[in-house]
Amino acid sequence: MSLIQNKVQKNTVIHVNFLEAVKKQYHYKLHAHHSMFGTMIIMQIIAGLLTFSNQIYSVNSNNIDITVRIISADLIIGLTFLWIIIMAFQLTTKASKNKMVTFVTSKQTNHLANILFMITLCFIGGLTANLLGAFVKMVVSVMDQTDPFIYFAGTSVSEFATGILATIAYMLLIASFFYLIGEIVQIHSILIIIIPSVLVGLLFILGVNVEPIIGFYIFTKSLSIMLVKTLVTAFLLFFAATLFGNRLEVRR
Amino acid sequence: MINVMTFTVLAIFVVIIVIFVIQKFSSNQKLNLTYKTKYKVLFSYIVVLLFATVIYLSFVQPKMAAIKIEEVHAPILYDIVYGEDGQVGELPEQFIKDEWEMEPINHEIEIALTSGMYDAYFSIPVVVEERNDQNQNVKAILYETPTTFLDRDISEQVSLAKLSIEGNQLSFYGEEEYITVYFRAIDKDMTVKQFLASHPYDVGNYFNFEQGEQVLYLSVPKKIKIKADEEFFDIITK
Repeated sequence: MSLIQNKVQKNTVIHVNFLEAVKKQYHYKLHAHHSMFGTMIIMQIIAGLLTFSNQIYSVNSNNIDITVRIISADLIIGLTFLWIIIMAFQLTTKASKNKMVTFVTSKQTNHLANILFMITLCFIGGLTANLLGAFVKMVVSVMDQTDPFIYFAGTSVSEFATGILATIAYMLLIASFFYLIGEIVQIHSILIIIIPSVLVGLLFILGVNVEPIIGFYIFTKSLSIMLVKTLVTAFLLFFAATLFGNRLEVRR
Repeated sequence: MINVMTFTVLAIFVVIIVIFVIQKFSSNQKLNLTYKTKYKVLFSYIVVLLFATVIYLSFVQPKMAAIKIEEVHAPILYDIVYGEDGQVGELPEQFIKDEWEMEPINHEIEIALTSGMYDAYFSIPVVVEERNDQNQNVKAILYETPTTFLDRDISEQVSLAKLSIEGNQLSFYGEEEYITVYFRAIDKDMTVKQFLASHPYDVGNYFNFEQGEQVLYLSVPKKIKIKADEEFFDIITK
C-alpha cells in the first residue's frame, strides 16, 4: 500500500515539475523574445501604410484606364504571416536553444514552451492584424477623400471574429510548418541549403502542384471544419518537430 | 496635394528612419527599452486598435453602408440595331443624349471621326431612316448608354465620343490622351471571404466594366447622299 502511495506521490511530483518547467520556460521566452512584438508592430505598420496605395489596374478599351485602390487587411495579414515564419525559425536556432541552458530542462519542456509561445505570438499577431485592418479602413473611410468610392463591403461583428480566428489558425499552421523545417535544418547545417533547394526544385523546376494541399485549407467553406483541419495539421507538425528536435541535444 | 503613393513612400521612409534612430540610441544605451516598456507599447497598440475597431464597426461602417449607389443596367443598343431578324428595333428614348436638326447643302452630309484615341474595335452604327415628306432638314439623334463599372454609372468620369454639327458635317471627336479614372473600394479580408457563399463585388477577381454604346439615328429626306468612313461608321438603313 505504502509502495503504491509512494509511486503516486513520485509521479505527482514529476508531473508538477514538468509543468513548472514549461511554465518557467514560457515566461522566460516572453522575457527573452520581447523584441519579436516590436518587429511585428513595425511590419504591420509598414503593411498598413502600403495598404493605402494597394492598387489594381484594369486597362480597358479605347483610351480608358481604370484604377481601383482596394482597401482590406490582406497585405497586413500577409506580412504578419511572414513575421510568424521568421519567428518560428528563430525559435529553432542554436542561439535560441543556448539560452535555455540556464534552466534545468528537457527537450520536451523546451518544445512545449516554444509551442505555447508560438500560440501566444499567433494569437497576438492574428488579433492585431485584423484590428489594424479595421483601423486602416476607418482612416480611408473618414479621412481619405481623394477618389470616389466604387463599392463598400462592410464586415459584421461575427465576420470580424471569424477573420480573427481564421488568421490565428493559419498562423499556427504556418508556424508549425516552419518550426518543423527549422528543427530539420538543425540536424545538419547542409540542410539549410538542401531544404530550400528541394522546395524550389519541386515547385519551380518539377512544377509540383501544391494547389490541392493549399486548397485543402483555403477552399473549406465551414469555419469549424477549417479550424479542425488547421489545428490537427499544426498539432501533427509540432509533434513531428518535437521528434526531430529530440534527436538533438539542448546544447550541442 | 501629395498623392497616396507619395504619402506611402514618405511614411515608410519615416518609419525606417524612426527604427534606425531607435536602434542607434538603443545601441548607445541612451534609450534602452526594458521588457516591461516593450510590453506596455504592445498593450497600448492593442488598446488603440481595439478602440478604433469599435468606432469603425459601430459608427463609421454603418454610415458608409447606408450610402446607396444606384445600380445601372442598360440595354445593349447594338442588339436592337442588329436584330436577329435583320430589322432595326425601336431605340429607347431614355438613352437620347442629344438631338440636332440641320439643313444640308446640295443634298449631302458627311460623318467623320475628327480626333480622339480609339482602338480597332471603335465603331458607331448609324441608323438612317428616309422620310417621304417635303421637309429637307436632317434630324440627328445620338443615343448613348451609360458606361458602368461594377454596375455603377461612371459616365461622368469616362466620357464617350462627342458629336458636333457644322454645315454638312457631323463630327465625332474624343480625348487625345488616356483617361485614367481612380476609385477606391473597401473589401472584405481574405480570411473572411473564404467562408462566404458568394461575394458580389470582389473587384480583385471580377472586373465588370461595360463601356457605354453610341448609336446615331438620322432621319433624312429621300435621295440624300451620306458620306462616312466605313472603318468607323456602319450605315444601316431602316
